[in-house]
This record gives sequence, structure tokens and C-alpha cells, in this order.
Amino acid sequence: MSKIKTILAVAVLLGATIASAANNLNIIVAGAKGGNLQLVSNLLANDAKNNLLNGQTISLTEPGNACRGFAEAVKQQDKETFLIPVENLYLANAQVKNDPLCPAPDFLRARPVYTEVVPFYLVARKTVRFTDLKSRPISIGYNSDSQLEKNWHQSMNQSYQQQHRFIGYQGTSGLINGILAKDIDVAWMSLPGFIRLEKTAPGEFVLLAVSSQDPVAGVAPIATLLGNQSLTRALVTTWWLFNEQNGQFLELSQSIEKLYRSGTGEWGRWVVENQKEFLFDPKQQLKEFHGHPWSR
Amino acid sequence: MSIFLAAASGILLGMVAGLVPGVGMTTIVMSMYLVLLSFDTGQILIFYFCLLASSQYFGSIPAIFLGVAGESSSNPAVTEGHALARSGQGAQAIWFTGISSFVGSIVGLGFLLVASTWLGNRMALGTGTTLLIMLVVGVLVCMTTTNGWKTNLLLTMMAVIVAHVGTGNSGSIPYINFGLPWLSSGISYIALSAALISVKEVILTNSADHSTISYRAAEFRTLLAESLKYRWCMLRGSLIGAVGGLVPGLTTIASSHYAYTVEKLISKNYKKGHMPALVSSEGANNSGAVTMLLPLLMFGVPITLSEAIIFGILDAKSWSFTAQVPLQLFLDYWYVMVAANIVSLILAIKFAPYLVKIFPKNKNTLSVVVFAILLIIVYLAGDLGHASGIFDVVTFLIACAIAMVTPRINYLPFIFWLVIGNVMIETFYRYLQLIGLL
Repeated sequence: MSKIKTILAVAVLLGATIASAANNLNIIVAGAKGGNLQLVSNLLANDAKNNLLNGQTISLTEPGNACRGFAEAVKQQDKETFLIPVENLYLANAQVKNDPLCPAPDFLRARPVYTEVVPFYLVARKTVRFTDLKSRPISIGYNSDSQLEKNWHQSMNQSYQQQHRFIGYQGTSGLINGILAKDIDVAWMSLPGFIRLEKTAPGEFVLLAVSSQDPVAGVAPIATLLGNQSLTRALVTTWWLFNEQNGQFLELSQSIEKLYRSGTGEWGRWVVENQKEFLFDPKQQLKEFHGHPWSR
Repeated sequence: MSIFLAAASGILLGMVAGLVPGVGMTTIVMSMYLVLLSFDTGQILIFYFCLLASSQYFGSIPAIFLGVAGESSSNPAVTEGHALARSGQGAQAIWFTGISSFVGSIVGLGFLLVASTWLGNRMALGTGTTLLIMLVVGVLVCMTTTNGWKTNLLLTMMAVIVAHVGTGNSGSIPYINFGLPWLSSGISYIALSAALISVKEVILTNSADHSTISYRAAEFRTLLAESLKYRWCMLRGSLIGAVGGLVPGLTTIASSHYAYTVEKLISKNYKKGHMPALVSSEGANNSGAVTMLLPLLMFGVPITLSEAIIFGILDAKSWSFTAQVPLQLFLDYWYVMVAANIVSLILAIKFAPYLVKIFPKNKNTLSVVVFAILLIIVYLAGDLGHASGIFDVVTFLIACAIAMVTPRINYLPFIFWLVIGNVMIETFYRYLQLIGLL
């Protein structure tokens, strides 16, 4: 009898330990301090604190930039369960650079929790038409100065059959400032970026093309306009759960989806306020993450 | 009521940013991140406004009495204010800089209103203009030192090289890190500035006995009457500072250094401990602390790191950045803005005597205390900022040794270029792209 009691006690203790371990999550913020990823991580952590994530508790690890975010992720891959938001642009950068200071994590043991797909729009001053891009060289602005952006710019140049100049800014704010200051007349930016530009200078800018499927009616994909189907891109950000046990990622994904659908919690309210759209189906997420050229 | 709480916390934390060297706007805003998320947009902006204003009032206190710049824009106050304090004019220096700061804030608010009403969307600085302004400010900073041009050129080149240390995703900037993990976040300008500017100023070159630094309160009426003597310096500094505040990445640093240089250039009998130069530069940085908000509020374009963080929070709360925002903000909260400046002014003047009492009178004790404070700050800033506290302490100690063996070199140009290093190299390489050289 006492043996059974001991076995039961050990089993209960073991179960409790496993359950407790499964409920503790670290979020590694792979982005700039004060950036969007950090903001969203904070909102999720607050909702977890308010018991809106099915008992998950979240603590934040904020390394400060994508390189350090990856380095932290690589260090923890064999240790605890953690959640890391990864923009495929950063991941692709890390893979291209193969830099030990900017390592790319191995996604074999990662499961997607939720994904956001943001296409880019070719925004131009009203005086510039799409045909101008085929007839004369123009300076085109980007919200990053990465090698991948440059590569994409080059592949577009080949389709335009023009030597357009690549101008890399640090973030959307810098890009908007550049276009307002007339450094550039054309830029690739997200729709929220264009909306900000519109608010600042109403009626001065137009959308010429979109980089992937267009959720806004009337804007043609660049791939169609240039007759080159490989010219498709989108900024895909997936929140990955590493070292998860027993389908924990599904549980987390479902509880976050609940906040998304109901608009509750700090994260849910932020999603509603900013009209965000996310994917929650694991298969569809993997397809999106690996389906864009930047992910390869 | 909650708007007053936001203002009060801004003033209080501005005191910390102003008084404690190495603790700047970014550190404060980062540490308040979660609290700010729970504020509404008006509260966030008032908090940030009060933080900026208050830090400028209090930044001059350690600069004048300790010879330590509480925040980067107080470097002219270190040179002039500390010399004045050592000659027994500390009380006057605090009083006049306080009044000048108040004038600067009011001029800055006026500038904000005029710009919001008249300039509208026409104001955005291009890459070339930004680079040119940076170069002009940098050259003017070099001119404020007694270094030869070769030394200044060498210091500038060294700063440019050090600014390239680190890692990043840029495909244009050739970062240097030799594959060493401790170089991945770059070399901390806090460690270098603490050693090459603060330690040098307080410990190495300060041969005078600190017991001469005392706060002898002068009569209120006398000080008020004397303030009028500096009215044109205050106004000149405030106007220059209002423009300087618009320089991306530099803001109040550009404001104070511009005004300081102009005042020195027009002075016929300049010598160290020059009250007009001090008064002008301190008015300028308050004015700049207000106008630096213009690009953020009107265009949604942050021009400093702390502004970028505030921007991220406002953006997430669906805040609309338009040309009319500063005007609306002023109409809604003008009384809080003016009150915050009056409170900061009174606190700074009233607080100074107590702060002075905290400072040890013995030079050696003071040196040890300042050194210890700087060492702790360097470690904490490095450890919390990018997990490199030990590396930053080693950098600090090496830089102290360099400062000790080169007592005649003024490292201000080196630190200045280093502080703006990231913004400068980004702007420079983008300019090369724009003119087709990259």
C-alpha cells in the first residue's frame, strides 16, 4: 500500500512539474527596442498575467535587436520552451550572412502560433506613373538597407530594364521623411506606412503596384505588371513556439485566436484598433512562411 | 487629474535624467515602457514633454557644481558653469540658467505654435540637408575646443571608425566586429564619454579645491535685476536652440552647442567661466527640447531614439500625426506645459542648494565618489542596454588611462561624433546612394 502511495505521490509531483514547466513561457523579442515586436510582446505578457492565455505565464527576454534575438534563440534551443517573433526578412538576412554574431535558429523544433502577412506597395508622387519606371532611372526608397532588399531591387531592375537607384532608409519613419523631403519620389512601403504618408500630405501620393496578393481593390501586383511571376514578396512575421510539449503550441494558438476573434484583452484591443489580420491554421502558416522568396 | 500625474512623473523622472550622468531620455522612456502603454495619447505626450523640459532644468546642476554633464546637451555648462561655480558664482549660474531655460521653453512653445500654424507639411529634412547640418554642427563643436585642427581631425576620424564597430542588417555600412561577441553591440559612448569627458573634467584637470564650490544664495531682487543683463543672450540662445532642436539625432545637443559657439564667437572678451555663453546654451537646449517634438508630432517622424519609442507607442494606439497636432496639443494642455516649466524652474533653483550639500567638499572624496558613480552607471547602462556591462567597464577604465596620459587633449569632438555616430553613418551611406556612389 505504501509503495502505491509513493508511486502515486511521485507521479503527481512529476505531473505537476511537467504541467508547471509547460505553463511557463519566455518571449524572446527579436527586434529593435521599443519596436513593434516588443510592443506586441508586452501586450501578450500582460494578457497572460491577466490569465487570458489559458494559464500560460509569460516573461520577456528583450535582447534589443534581431541579431541578438537570434543569438538568444539559438542559445535556448535545447533548454526551455520559448516564443520568438521572427520576420522572415531577418531570418533570410541571418541565413545569407551566416554570421556567428547573427545566427539563424534551426526551425526543426519550432511550431507556428500565429502569422501576419504584410504586402508592400509601390508608392509614388502623383507626377510619377508606372510607365516612367520603364522609361527612365528613378531613385526608389526602401525601409531597410539590407542585402536582401538590394537583391530584390536588382531583380526588379532587370524586369524594368532600367538601372533604378536603391535608397535604403532605417525604418518606415525614415522612409516617409525621405519621400516628404523629396529625396525620392518612389518607395516600397506597407499600407499603414502609406496611410501615414497620406495623412501628412493628403492627395500627393498614389499606389502604383503591390508586391503580393492585393487586399486593397484596384492595385495590380508588380509580378503581373512586369510579367515576371517570381517578383512577389511580403513581410511575413510568424510567432514560433520552440521546444513545446504535447501540442502546447495549439493550445496557445487557440487562446490567442480567441482574443483575436473577440477583441478582448490588451492584445485583442490592439489588434482591433489596428485592423490586423492573422493566420492561425498551422499548415497555412507554414505555407506562408516558406512560400515567399525571402523565406527560402 | 491623470494628466497631472503624467506631468508629475515626467518632471520627477526628468530630474533623474538631468541629474544622473549616463541616464538619458532613452533609458527613462524604456524603463517606463509598460506604464506608458497604459496611458492615453495625451498623457504620453505630456509625460514626454515634461520629461524633456525637466531634464534640461536639472541637467545644469551637476554640470555646474560637479563638472559632470547630466545629459549630453549640458557639455557647454560643464565648461563654463563649473568654472563659474569654482569662482564662487554657482548660485548666480544656477539662477540665470534656470531663467534662461524658462525663456527657452516659452520661445520653443511659441516656435511650435508658429510652425504648426504656418509651416504645415512643408518642413521635412532631406538626407543631404541633414548631413550638411551635422557637419556644420560637428565643425562648430571642434571650433569650441583649443585642440589644433589636426588633433580635431584625428579625433573625428577615430570617432567615425569607432561608430562602425558593431553588427547590423545594413548591406551598405561596413560594420567592424572581428567576429568578437563583445563587439557585436558596438563600443558604448557612455563609457567613453564618462571617462574622456566627465572623469577628465572632474578628476584630472580640476586642480582647484572643491571646497571653493559652495552655494551662496544671493538676494532675489539682485538676481532678478541681473537676469535682465542677459536678456539678449537668453533670447538669442532660445531662437538658435529652436532651430537646433530640429536637427535629427542631435536635437538639444545641436541647440546648446550652436548657441554656445555663437555666443563665444560674438563675445569680445571670452574666457572660461563666461556667463553669457552658459546662459545662452542652457536657454537653447530647453528651446530645442520643445521644438524637437515638431517632426514627431507633425509628420510622425521621430528624430531621436527616445522619440522613436514614444512614436511606437503612439502609433500602436492609432494616433494620427498631422500638422495641426502641436497646435491642438497646446490648446488642450497649455496650462500643464507652462506649469511644468514653472515647477521645474522653482525645483531646480530650490533643489540646487540641497544637491550641493550632498556633494563632498573635499576634492579627493568628490573624485572618488564621482568615479564610483560613473563606474556603476557605465556597468548598469551596459548590462541593461546590451548585456555588456563588464566590457563597458573595461572600456571605461582603458579610456580613463588614455585621458590621464593625454591631459591636454579635449575629447569633446570625439564624443560628439561618436554620440551621433549611428545616425551620421546611416545618413552618410544613404547620401552616397542618393548621389549614385554606392
